[in-house]
Amino acid sequence: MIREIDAKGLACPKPVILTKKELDAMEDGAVRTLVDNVTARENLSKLAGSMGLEFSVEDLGEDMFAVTIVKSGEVEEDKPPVKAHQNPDGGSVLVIQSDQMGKGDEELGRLLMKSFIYTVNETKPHPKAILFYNSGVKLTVKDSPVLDDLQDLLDAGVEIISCGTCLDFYNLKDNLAVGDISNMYTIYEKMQSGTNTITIG
Amino acid sequence: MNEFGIITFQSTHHAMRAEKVLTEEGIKTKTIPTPRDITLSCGLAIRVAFEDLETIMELKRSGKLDYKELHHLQTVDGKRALRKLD
Repeated sequence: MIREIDAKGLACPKPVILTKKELDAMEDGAVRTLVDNVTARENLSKLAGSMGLEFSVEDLGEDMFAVTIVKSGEVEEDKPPVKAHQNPDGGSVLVIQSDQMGKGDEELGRLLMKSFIYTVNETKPHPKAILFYNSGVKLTVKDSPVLDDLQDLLDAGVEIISCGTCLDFYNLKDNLAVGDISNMYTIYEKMQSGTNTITIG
Repeated sequence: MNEFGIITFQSTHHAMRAEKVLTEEGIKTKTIPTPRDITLSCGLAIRVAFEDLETIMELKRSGKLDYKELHHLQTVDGKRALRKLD
């Protein structure tokens, strides 16, 4: 049985929510979701990965894609969910919710944030993921003062994830310079997956 | 081998001002916590490229830049060698 979902024109987390709902509701079968942007395509692929399910992507041209995720009863038990970039070094997740560290003087806050990200890069074990949301996404885009440290961390296997809604809000979606774009589902999943979640901002 | 200059300051305000001056002079800076082998105070320091050290000392002599100390940090095979220059 293949369920088809037309998620064209739907905003950020919607295609993933609809697809996940269908998948959760079925024992056996597949969901084929039509989307009209690359971010949605990527997020559906990640959804499949995080659920440990097989998926395929069809490029339909003009930024249209169909992502088919297959769920078969047995697969789930045999295969543990595939987690991308698992970092054996550390289990903590860093959440950066602002481009400044702490409340108070903004200039000082930005300076402290630079110093903080540098310290994270220099200190082992590294966290397994760093999540950026709200004005925190200003740190992962072009001309950010901490790009080199974040790139080092990414190269060392740390997941760098920026909130897509936030990049969009600040008009920075085309300027992302390090890591991946993701949605609230992934952000929450990552927060839950950490042995320790540290919030900075 | 890694070679850097580490500049320390009297206060955070001095560090912030120096960061602006250096950027205006076209010198690439990196704000870092002051390494613990320089001072245990919780201050901020600025890391610069080794090649810029002469320029930085010159900026201090001409009164454009104010700092407390200037160190040369060298890392060879994971070992840190720190030398106070100014």
